[in-house]
Amino acid sequence: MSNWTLYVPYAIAFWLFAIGCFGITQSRSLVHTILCLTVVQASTYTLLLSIDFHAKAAAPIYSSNYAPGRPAVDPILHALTLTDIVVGATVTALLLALTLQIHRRKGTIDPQRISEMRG
Amino acid sequence: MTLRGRTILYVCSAVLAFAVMMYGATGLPPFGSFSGAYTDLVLQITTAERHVYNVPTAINFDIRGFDTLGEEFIFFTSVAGVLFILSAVRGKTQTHPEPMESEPGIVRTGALRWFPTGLTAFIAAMAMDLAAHGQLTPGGGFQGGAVFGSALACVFLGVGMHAFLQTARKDLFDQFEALGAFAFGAVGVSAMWVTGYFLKNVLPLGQTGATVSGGTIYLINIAVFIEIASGFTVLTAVFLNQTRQTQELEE
Repeated sequence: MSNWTLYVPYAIAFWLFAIGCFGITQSRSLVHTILCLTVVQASTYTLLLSIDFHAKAAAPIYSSNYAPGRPAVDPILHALTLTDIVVGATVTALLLALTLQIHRRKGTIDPQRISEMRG
Repeated sequence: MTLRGRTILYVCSAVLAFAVMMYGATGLPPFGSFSGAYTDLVLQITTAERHVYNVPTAINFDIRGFDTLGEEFIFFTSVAGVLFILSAVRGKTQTHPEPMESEPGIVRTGALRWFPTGLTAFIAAMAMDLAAHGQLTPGGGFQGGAVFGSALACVFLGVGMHAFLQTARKDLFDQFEALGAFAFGAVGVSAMWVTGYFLKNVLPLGQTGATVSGGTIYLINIAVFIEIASGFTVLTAVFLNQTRQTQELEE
């Protein structure tokens, strides 16, 4: 490993993953659990975008000023990330709806007091 | 398992997992030096063969359009799931006919009322602009749709719950969402009908840089915008409706 600073972005992605998982294990409220899950999700975006970054390249959107075919960062991972952010927001909504329903049924959203979620 | 036990288990496994992941990262290209054969190829051919400037849009809606169809259906199913889960309790409470803003204690001054309402028009116009030029400039159906979702929420901020629920009519936007999902599939199937390949770009590509260009990319872009925008509107409406029902339950 010649220059360790070039691996910091990957370390940040793994750190986000680890700290999100930590939040899930410590969670006393399902809303908090869902927010921690979105932090874990953010780690995948960080990893995808830091893999595809290229130092001497522009964004993969050409124009008449930046001719098509000139160096640009990997557009495939950008496309993956952008669809995933939108779809992830909806999945979060689905989880929040489930939380609302659990609150109606059980009267609590503390995962440690819901017998089905005790582990 | 107790909280303490869980913490100890977490710390042990996290240290191990972090070490394994960092070891794996040493096999990745160092930050800023990635280059793949597929990347170079896609960057070379996209504008030449599809007549669009925005390469991620071309990838989403054409080159890897089938993946996006799958993502679209995840979105569609999630919204349907939210509606299904939250409609299970609708029978228990009847909705209040009385509008929220007549409630005593909530007084909105002129600026507080009209600034968000004006923002609605501005945000909606910006969302449509983002979506309509998705093949030329940063933006596209997904981004525009997500922005549009917040436009109608401004009606709630400015005028109130009752006006919002009348603007963001759930039955209407539900049908728009289904229409968007259907249109994406229909474009794919009709391409298969004509050429034998699903989602093949069959329409004339137009001139590079024109507002309408890219063939089926443009159509799918608009279909995705309609679906995402209506999906987010339905979600906002359903959740705000829930807060109203919960307030009534507690009274």
